[in-house]
Amino acid sequence: MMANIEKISTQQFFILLFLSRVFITLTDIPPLMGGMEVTDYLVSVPIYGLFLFISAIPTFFMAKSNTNSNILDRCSCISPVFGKISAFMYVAIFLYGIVLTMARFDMFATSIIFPKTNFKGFLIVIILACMLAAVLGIESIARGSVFVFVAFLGTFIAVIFTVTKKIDFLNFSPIFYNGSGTTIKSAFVSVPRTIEIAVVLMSMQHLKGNTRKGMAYWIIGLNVFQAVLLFYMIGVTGDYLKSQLFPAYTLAVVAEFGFLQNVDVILTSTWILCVFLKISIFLYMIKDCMKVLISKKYSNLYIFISTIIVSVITFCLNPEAYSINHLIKPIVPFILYSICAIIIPCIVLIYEKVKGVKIYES
Amino acid sequence: MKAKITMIVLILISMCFLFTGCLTSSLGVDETIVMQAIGIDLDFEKAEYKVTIECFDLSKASGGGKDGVEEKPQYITTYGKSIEQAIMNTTKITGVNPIYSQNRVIVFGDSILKNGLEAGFDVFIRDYRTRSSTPVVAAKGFTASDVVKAKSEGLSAFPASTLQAIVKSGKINSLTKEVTVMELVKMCEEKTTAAYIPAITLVKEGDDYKAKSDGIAILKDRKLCGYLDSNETRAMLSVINEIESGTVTLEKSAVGISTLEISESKTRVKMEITPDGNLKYIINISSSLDLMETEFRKDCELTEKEIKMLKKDVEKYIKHQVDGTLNKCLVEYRCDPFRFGQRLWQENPKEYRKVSGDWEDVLPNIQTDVNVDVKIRRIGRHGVK
Repeated sequence: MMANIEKISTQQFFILLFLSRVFITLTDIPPLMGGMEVTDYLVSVPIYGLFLFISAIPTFFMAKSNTNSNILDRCSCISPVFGKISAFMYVAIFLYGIVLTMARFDMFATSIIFPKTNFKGFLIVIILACMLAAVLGIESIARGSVFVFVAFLGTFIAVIFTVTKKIDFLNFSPIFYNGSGTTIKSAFVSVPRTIEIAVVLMSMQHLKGNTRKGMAYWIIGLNVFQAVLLFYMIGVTGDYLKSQLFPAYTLAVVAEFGFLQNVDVILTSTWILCVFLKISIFLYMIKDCMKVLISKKYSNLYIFISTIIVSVITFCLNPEAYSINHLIKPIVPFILYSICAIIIPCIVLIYEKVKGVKIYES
Repeated sequence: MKAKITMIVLILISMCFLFTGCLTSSLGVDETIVMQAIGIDLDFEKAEYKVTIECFDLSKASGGGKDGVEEKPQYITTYGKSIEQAIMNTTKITGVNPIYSQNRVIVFGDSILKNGLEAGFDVFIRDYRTRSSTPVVAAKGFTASDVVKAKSEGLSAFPASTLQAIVKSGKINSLTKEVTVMELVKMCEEKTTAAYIPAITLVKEGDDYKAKSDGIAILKDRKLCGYLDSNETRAMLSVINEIESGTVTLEKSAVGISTLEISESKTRVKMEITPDGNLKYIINISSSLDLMETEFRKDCELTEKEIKMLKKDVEKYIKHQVDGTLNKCLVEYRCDPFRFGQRLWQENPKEYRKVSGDWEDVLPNIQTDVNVDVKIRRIGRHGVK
């Protein structure tokens, strides 16, 4: 059992997870899902929501008993070896999440913001800032996320408001014109990108409030946001979005109101903040995992070590344009997500049910 | 705890400002020229692109300029095997970096449009420095270089600013339509749609040439297909429901020469498949107009009968214009700037799958039924008799 655990409200926590996941949406690269017409992207959102909800069922059951433990504590009660193996898997998924985020952000920044700059240096600075945030604790990160959420929401609403008159309903394609297979596959492949489910499993001891309700609102909110964003992207840009590496950014480029132009700069600032929050919380989670994997004795040292590992990987990443294609191949996140979000929680739940044991009581 | 949260917020704020601009590539004012307009032609003799740039020298505008030189646009003409190379070749002449972000307009000459946009347009989609909201125009009957260098009649000292305003004037007169890079790419990506861009021509006044809006250029498969004049452009815009404002002038009406201002216009298009398997589009145009001018008679007040006759004349006129434009585009040019194919795709994907491969052959057989309903809302400061 952990003493002096930082507590945050479920609202703050799921706002943090919302912003963390939103970065993936905003830097999504749709051309990689060939064969889909534009409206199919929109249709894939509720399908993704359904798949995500189904895959989160073990997490819902884990949260059902309002405990002061996280998944690794419960794994360790089954067996210390199982606890360590699980901790290793969670470290792997969070490390993968950080590396992928850095690669994505690198691609975005060097394609759009700083093309002539060796961005590796900036990435190191960002990850050092994230390391500092992780050291400060989850409460600080969560409260900072509320500040970012207000800024992000305000900018997003401003962009939406200004482009509404540019919507042309003729831009929408017929649904499933090329069949539904690619759409369903796209939705299925998007689910493992939601590594935040693993964050929920690791953070239950920090939460004050109804975790299941918060999670349900988070999944719904995420889907509503994606649907609204895609609706506007398709309605305003139509088939143009197929030619763009970052179509969400293009929406911001065409938004202008009155004398205010180049609104994409403001939106880009808030996206960078989402990167910061995502990496910070993942580093914090790695710390909790390492405590189980190695020793509870150290805390911030694990954050420091993880930062070094991620920095080294970032520096060693192939700088060529196609390298991100290897990172975002579906198989790696699929395996990690299946193990961390589904298999491990199911093992814990089945064990507890069979043994008739409630390990920690609220 | 408050200190920790404050620290986080400070980090967030600093990120907002530090990571959204250029650092290593930041340039001083005297190291840049600001491009205002880019004109692109194909020089067949040299087998190269000819790029004419109107630019603004920031160092002269800052007040610290040499010899108190008056602010004037500069024109630079360069050549290159690609447009990007041609633009970078400006550094050989100026010694400074060209900045794209304030570019107001991209002008394509006939030579580029007739050859096809494939080679000449990719840079404006791919290059991170260009913006997808930049308007694109076609130089009609002249080279892009001539249009970029034409004198400005507008309020701004910079012709590019006037060119941009001319292109945007479609919102006022509905005789042209602003098309941005994004919109052009979107139209080119659609399988059955013919893209269009506003056309600018030049009129001679004394020794100078001045830019003037002259309808739109229609592109088929990204190549110039033909032009629509101003009235035909307005008719096209009314079919695609893009009329915001403008005037209609009747040379012969029940009350003589009359000009009416469009206060509102809405178009609804319905699609049907006729019993013999042809496509039919029913175009219902509903407009509200205000009478602004007619012949100055002794008795200025109009009778209700005259107003009704005027209404009928306007309806006939608009219908005639729209029918003529539809015929010109669908039969003569065999192109579809009205997005009829897109509409078919949305409403009847099965039928679209059958015909989309031969859309050019289907177009002349498309039946159209134009219905115009006009309301003369106001007749100005004179009353009704």
